[in-house]
Amino acid sequence: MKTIKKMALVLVALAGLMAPGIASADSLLTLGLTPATSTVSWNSTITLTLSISGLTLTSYSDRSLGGYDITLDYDSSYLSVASVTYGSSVSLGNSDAYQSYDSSTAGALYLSEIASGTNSDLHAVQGNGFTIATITFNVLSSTGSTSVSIDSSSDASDGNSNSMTINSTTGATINVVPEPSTYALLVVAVLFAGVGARKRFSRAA
Amino acid sequence: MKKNYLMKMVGAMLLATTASLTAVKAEAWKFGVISDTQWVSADDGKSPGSVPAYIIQQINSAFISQGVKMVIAVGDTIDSASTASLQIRALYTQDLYNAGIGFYPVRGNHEISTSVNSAVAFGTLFPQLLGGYNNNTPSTITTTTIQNIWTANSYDTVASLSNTLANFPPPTKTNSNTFTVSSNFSYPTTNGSNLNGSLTWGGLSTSFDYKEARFILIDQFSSTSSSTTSQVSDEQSWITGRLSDSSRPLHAFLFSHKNILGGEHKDNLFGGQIGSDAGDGSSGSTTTLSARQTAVDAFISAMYNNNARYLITGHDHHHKHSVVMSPKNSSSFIEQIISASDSNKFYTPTSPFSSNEVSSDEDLYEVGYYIYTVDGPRVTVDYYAVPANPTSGQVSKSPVLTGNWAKMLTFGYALNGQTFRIAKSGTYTSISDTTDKAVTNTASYAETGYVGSSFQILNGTNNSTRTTNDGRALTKAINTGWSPKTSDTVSDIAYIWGLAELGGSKTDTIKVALTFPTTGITDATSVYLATKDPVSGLWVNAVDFNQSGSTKAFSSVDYTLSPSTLGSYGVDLNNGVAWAVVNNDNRQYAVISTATTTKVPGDLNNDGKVDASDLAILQAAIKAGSTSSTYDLNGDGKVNSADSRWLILHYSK
Repeated sequence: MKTIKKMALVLVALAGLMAPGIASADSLLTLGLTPATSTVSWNSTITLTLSISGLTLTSYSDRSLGGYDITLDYDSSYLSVASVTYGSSVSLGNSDAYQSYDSSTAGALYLSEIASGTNSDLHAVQGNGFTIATITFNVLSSTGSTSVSIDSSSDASDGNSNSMTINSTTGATINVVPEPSTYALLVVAVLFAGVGARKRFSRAA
Repeated sequence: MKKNYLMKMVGAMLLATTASLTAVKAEAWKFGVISDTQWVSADDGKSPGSVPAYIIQQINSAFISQGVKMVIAVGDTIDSASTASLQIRALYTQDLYNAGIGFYPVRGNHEISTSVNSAVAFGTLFPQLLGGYNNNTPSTITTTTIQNIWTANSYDTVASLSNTLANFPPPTKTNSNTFTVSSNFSYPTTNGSNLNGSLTWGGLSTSFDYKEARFILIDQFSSTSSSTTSQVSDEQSWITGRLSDSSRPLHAFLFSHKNILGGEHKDNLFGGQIGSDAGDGSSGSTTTLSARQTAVDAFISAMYNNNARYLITGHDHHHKHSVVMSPKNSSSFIEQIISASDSNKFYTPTSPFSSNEVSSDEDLYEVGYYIYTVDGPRVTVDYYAVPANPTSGQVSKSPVLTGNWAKMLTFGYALNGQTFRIAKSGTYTSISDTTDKAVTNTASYAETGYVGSSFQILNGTNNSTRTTNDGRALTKAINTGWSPKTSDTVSDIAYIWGLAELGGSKTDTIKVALTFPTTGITDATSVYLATKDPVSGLWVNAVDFNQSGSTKAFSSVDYTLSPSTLGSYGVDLNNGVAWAVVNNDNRQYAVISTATTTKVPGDLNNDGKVDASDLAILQAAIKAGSTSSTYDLNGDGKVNSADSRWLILHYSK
């Protein structure tokens, strides 16, 4: 019971950090991937959401994200990048905003956006935090556990072209399980093996 | 002494200023080299019929992204000589053809077998060797016909081959057009009857031209039955003729499978076994080329006398760059580049080694490929590799190369420059060059606009401790070269290759100096010695690329009295010399005016406005991890997205 209460508190705290639009005085600037843990099957895909939170500060109320260079590290024997979809809270839909990603290096997905809108326009849309992008990975491995993390070289700029310190990052863990059909095959194989063994046992007898 | 040398050059500059100030420069272009695509182990599901298809596809993908015009395969394109294997190799070339890239293979010993006439097969499968018509693999060759051959000949692992061809099929032909890369094809005709049937040497030994280069592909094998003989002596008159031809383009590159001097292999381009044959004088760990010295001397002399620098080979399954001297005349030499393995097997060099060879660098147990960039009279070679095996021997699974390539080494030369060899513990001060040769040959190099400059290394020592695998100290092969002054430089542009070592860009600490015309320059701080940022293509202060322990400090004293501490730089207006103390493998140097580099903040490409093209340059620099102050637009000491945001906020209205 105690454990459940503790978990609930942690979840509430995490929600406060990650949920877009929820103001939190002097919260830490955090980049995070969600879901934190997921279970997927081989040959499927997994979509992760990259979010930022902690933009609102009591001492500097209109801070916004004006640009970033973020690298996601992953194990290329488990995952490959299928697609990247940016949110609109940095570009604001402006045609002269900069958006780019590079997945040519196995194990490192580089994402970058630079806003062209004003700081106040950005802040009005972004609030305390928002979804930066959703990234879909192909699952290459048949079983095991792997993680996606935010590289420490990642950087962020505020709307006034000042470097911002990224206080913390949270990654995602992906557990890969065999497909149901694989289980079915296994069951069939075990059954056959059982029948065979029984027949051999009968003949021997 | 140094001062006198540089002062002489100021005089040379004045003479050269009569040349036109309009530089005419041909566009640089690239070709790739792949070597020894053999799969020796059991098929891993991606290596059908002794062909490492997955390795080939990944290297082809690199060639495509690098934008090469053609690829040369320096032999052993398969492991087991069979018609089916050669056909498989041809089919896995299709992705190059789809991208409009030419492909020219030369036979190695693994194509030679009594069971298959690879001479006929090569001409059929790679008809481009007979006139340059690429993308013309016979349409009758398919994975089905290959499997039928495999089955009919009762080769091993029929099921494995079928599965691999089904699960890892050759690239689909998406480019239906044949295309021609290169021209002026030529073949040796002597001893044509040595080949089987009615074939002449055509399609085996082949030579052709592309822009500023002549390619000469040498097939040393005369028959289907022997992989250790050599017919190079019979071809020598043709080779010499192609090299000395008065209508030859600027460069000549020679390719063969076997080497003049190998590491692991002692069988060679001229036949026999070096170190074992009578007369070689093998003694302990060293040997000579005595048994074949006449043939070797004829070959090296023909190259040296006709300004052909590189013999590009394979066969030895490791990277090796060395100077090979004629056994009859040590002043006659060429550079031999043994190409890294693109196979699943890797070799270790073993003695005896020859005193005719001076090693520049060596790299073992990596899969690698090469990009040769031809830029007028200048050639730059970039060697990329991925570690594949901890030791000599074979790997059983195809390595993942895409995304893991590292540039291991860059070297090169210029026909308008000089060549130097700096041994371990030797001083770099012998390295000096002027634009005299470049100006004299302005017409043949098709470059004008030189103002006359002199380049020199004023101090520094080769402190390298690297050796070959067998413990011989390496000697740096350093080349210099030139291109004319451009609109954003004050001086001509000096090039230097060969200072860095395998896998790194840090060099010994050296003081470099370049002369420039001082007319109209009264403020020493208005110019500086710059190097070109390889990421952005912009000129930046040469000391900004220094690595660890550099303190940036300007001086305007007489350059002979200038400090030699890393990061020092300065301008001596009295002598017209700009200098810098550097330890990064900077490829180009020029004297730059601050007036041309500080026009508009954020105008990184100097086109007078701040826009998306400047942002693209900045983003590339950030991605490459640059720390140059050129990109620190908001002045916070970091190069990151805040600078990009600063730039976009300062776009020209």
